[in-house]
Amino acid sequence: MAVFQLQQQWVDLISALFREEFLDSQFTQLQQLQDESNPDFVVEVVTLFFEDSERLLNDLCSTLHQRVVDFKKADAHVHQLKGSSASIGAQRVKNVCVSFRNCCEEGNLEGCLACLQQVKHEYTLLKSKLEALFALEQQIVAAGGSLPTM
Amino acid sequence: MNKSIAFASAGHDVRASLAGISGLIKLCYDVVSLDSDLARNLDQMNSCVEKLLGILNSVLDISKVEAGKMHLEEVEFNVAQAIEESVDIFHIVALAKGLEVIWDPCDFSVLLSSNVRGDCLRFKQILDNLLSNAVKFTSEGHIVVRAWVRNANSKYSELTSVQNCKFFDIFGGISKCFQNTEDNSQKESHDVIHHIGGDKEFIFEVDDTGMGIPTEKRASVFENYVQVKDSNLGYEGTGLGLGIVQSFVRLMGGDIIIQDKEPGERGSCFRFNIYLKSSEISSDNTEVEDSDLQKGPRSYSLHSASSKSWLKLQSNIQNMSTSQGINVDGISCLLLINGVETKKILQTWMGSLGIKLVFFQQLENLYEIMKKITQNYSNSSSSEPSLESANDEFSSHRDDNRHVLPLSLKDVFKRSGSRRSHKYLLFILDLSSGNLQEWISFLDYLRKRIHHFYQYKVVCLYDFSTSTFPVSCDLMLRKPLHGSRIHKILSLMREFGQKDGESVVLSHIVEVPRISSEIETKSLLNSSSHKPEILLQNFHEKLPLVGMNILLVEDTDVLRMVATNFLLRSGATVKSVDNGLQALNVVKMSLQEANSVSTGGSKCFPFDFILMDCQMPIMDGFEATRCIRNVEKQYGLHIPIFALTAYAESDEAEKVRLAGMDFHLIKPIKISKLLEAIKLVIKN
Repeated sequence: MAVFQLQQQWVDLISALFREEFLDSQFTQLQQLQDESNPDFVVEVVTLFFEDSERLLNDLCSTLHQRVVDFKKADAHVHQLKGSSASIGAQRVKNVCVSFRNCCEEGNLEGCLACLQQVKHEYTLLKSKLEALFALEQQIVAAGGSLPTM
Repeated sequence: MNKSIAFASAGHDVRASLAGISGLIKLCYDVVSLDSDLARNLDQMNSCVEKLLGILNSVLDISKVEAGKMHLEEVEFNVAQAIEESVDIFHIVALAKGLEVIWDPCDFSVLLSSNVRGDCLRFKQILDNLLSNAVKFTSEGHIVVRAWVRNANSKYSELTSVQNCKFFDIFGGISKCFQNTEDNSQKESHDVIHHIGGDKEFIFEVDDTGMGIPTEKRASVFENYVQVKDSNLGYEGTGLGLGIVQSFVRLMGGDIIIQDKEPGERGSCFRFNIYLKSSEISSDNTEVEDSDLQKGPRSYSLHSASSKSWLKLQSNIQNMSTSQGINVDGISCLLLINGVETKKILQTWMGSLGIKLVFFQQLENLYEIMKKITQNYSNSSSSEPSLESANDEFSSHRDDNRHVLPLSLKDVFKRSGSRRSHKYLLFILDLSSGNLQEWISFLDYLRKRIHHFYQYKVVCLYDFSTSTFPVSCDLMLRKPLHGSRIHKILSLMREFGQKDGESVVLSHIVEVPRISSEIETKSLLNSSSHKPEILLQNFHEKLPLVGMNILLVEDTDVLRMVATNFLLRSGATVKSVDNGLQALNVVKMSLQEANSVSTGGSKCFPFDFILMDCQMPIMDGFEATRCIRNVEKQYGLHIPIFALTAYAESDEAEKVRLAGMDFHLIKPIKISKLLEAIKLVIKN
């Protein structure tokens, strides 16, 4: 496929991500940090985020399924998840974390489980979209094109 | 007399209430999130307040002028800059109507004697008033502001003969000395000071293609409260404007008239002159031969000017360019821009410098030309292809008011007789014609192909409506293209020929827009009430933290990585650890190391400050800070510690303070907030 069309797709995809509030301005800040001396910065940070999040989600799952639920522990996990999602601009994930923390503080198990479902859902969505974005970027670079610099 | 006292005190009260509202709005901003509807409502409330203040001040001004109590301020300011600021603002408003608003520097005399002393505010009020009317009453076409300068003691400095009488009315006291010269004999004009000691006469025109004002209504237009109500479309406006404008202009020693336009041209042209003291070392250059610039029926435009002023234009521009050491030999300019008047202006000044210009309507044509050129270049090694200029075409079309015709492809490849080689290409591209991807591909194409044959530079024009992804080019200029931006293009051209075989520099030089694009109408008073939005960081501010050593304490990997990179990017050196205990150990060790060698005197600490996350395993931020404070007492130091929290709640602030931290920042870190915090700490 022509580089031009790939670039067009990239622009469309990323505009949709911002428009649908998957990402916010913090992500733009990350993009600005990427340059020739640091060409894979965004991918690296996001990959780190994926690893972190999957670990946290697993921990949350097991914490919430204990016989006696330790809400403080769950809260600490969610706090971490909220922090890292905010730092890469994962807006929707972060927003769910906010409600999630409220449920933890109230000791509301049902609410927590519902939030866990939701946050998993949002995370999975975001992950697949970002992976598609990075795949496009690789294709563009491989075809000799360049990404719009921030 | 009583009326004016009543006005004054009522005005004072109204102003006080408005100030109250404005202050309360500012307070509201603090508790509102900037993206919300509430914030937008507050913005609108703010602009209403400012509008009210503007109207109030206009009303008070009128009464002052009528009572003969108006005083002019005297400040140093730059005329060209003032014009630019006003035109820029109206450019945005006019863009929505599809109008072109631009400032035409004519013979460039304004740029040469731009620094003056005078009443900047009132001058801008005059200009804004005229521009606002022009925009209001024009639905298509363009609005051009023209300006030029003369030395004030020239014989033809009066616009109308009525001016003398009115002028002396206002300044009754001073005029007594000049009673005997009330006749308009021009022989004695050099004895009479037509102005308040000003050195230069500035003449301005605001020319639009709008509704126009019928001849019989022209005189009454300047009376306050009268509005020309010819059409049944009901244009809004208090009509206060032109009366005030006339008063101010007269106060500044000049007058304002409505020029006749050429037959067949629609719209109105307001011409006014004022006198300002020049703060520049004057030279003979700025004097323009006056015979053509007389008060004549036609408005000033180059194509009807005599050859003398054409020469004047050329010499002014030559002065500007050679003083900057620009060699314009061999430069060709390819332009893809909109705007009839813009094209005319560029053609005038670049053409007079000897640069060949070629205008394009569409990107495809540009591509074709570039392809053909490179083909020709590689085919014939002996002679170089040349771009035939529009210059020769222009001279025969000078009397034609229409814009420069785009050239046919054949013209471009005519081998000109001159031996001049066109080694340099200057591209001026308007980003709003065409979409982003097309531009990116075109610039890529240039980089890959053209780069081998020519040195070239790219200037991109943008405005608030173009996408905010900047493309890689040599210079990005905000539209409209006038004044100081033209200067920037001149300096860019200077770079041609300085380094041979340089490839395109990919850095962006972004001009900081002076206003935010959200302003609809300008406040006449507070031009600085809205903070300008900066698209990209100014180059000099790219490394605000350079030279600083920072200790970062953060347990979440992602956050640590992002924060570290931010700080590194800003020029700092960063050491990161992932919990409070480690931080404490690092602090202890570095204090010991750094101070074991010192022989008394000041103790030092290798880190300028610490960024401390609050929630961490093993030892959290608060605990770590408390311990660090204990340790540093031994050395008599106070290390600035900034807390990083995810909360915005007030009790968090209390905890932070109790633990001994200096400031707290909310995650994720914004460099601007960090800089503010640093400044605060340094102050203490």
